[in-house]
Amino acid sequence: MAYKYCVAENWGKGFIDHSESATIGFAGFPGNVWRIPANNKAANLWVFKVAGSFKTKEEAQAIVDAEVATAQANWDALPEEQKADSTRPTNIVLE
Amino acid sequence: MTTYYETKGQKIQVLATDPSETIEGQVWYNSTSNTLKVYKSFTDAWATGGNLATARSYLAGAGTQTAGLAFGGNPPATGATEEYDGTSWSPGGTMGTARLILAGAGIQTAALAIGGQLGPPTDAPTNVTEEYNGSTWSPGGNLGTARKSLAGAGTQTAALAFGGFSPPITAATEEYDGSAWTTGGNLGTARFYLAGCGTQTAGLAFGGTPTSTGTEEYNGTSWTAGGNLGTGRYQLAGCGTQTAGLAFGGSTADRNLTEKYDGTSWTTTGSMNNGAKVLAGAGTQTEGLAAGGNSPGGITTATEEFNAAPFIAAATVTQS
Repeated sequence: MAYKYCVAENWGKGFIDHSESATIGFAGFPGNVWRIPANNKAANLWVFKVAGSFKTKEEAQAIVDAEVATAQANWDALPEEQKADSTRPTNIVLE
Repeated sequence: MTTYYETKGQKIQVLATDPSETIEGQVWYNSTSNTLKVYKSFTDAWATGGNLATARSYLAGAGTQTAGLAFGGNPPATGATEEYDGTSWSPGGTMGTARLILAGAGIQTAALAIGGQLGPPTDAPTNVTEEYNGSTWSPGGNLGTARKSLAGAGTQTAALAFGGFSPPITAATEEYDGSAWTTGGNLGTARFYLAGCGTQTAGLAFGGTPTSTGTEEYNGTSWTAGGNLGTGRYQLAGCGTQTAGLAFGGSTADRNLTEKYDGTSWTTTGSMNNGAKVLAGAGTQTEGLAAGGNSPGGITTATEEFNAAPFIAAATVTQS
């Protein structure tokens, strides 16, 4: 399936409703990056609803990489006993 | 020649009960409920809910989708509690013992916080139990075995605690009667970071570490094997009952993964939009709630609401 990406801040209730979730099929990534199907009218309408900003795959990947790098740095700075209960955030490659 | 159907259209069926077999778009009038109904198929789906005020992971949940509770979690350990009304979270009373990786049970106005891990400097597993009355937490009876990353089920006066890490990994089950914990039957497989749901006499345990697909059913005395999760995972959340359970999130390649249990087997259903691990779960199989956790970008405030597909969408007809 072909995808496209946008950035939109999840404000909470109503950001994605059940109908949109069922018909579009979202995947959320760090940095408020959302993956949606390409050539999908419902997805385009949703991006308009949430005032999202379309990004190329490369732009979206750069945002995700920066967020993951921050999360990894935060994890690296944790005390060792706290690291034992979690795993280091892993890099994400967008499809 | 013009026909009746071309000028008047088809008549709507008048039925005393909803038809047992329907097709997409079928319309009928239910003369018992006086409602005009149309069949539309839906898919089980997650929608975003109101965000937590405080991003947190390793927390616990209780209650329902419209009256939920999230408490404890992070690191470092917190005692903070938030109450959900179906739209937004608001502050609740703070637990007397700050902790994370704890278990929850009960409802928003009668919840239990069970065990978990204390904050620095000890970072030790705890046996502390606290009871919530809708505004404040008060001490309850202590667990017999202090432990973290355990699971809970049931109500404030008839709860279950099972599994966890004490250390070592434990299979121990304990039953709460509203004042004290007593020993129950051991899980067949010791595990931690598992999820649970159901009641004290009909409990369900699933997933956990070591990465497990295992499901076990409790009858008030002993655990027996149930159907395996489709995907093994730990640090997941769950809600519902022994015969209608829901498993979501967790440490797995697809944190959005959601499965539902019918008392025999698990089937994949609508995926979360922005799944997490070490999150809180509450509610039922048809109206679930997920809050907080650790998403790939870090600790999150995100809340999602699961709703099972309604069979029939109905439009009420009124006379004017």
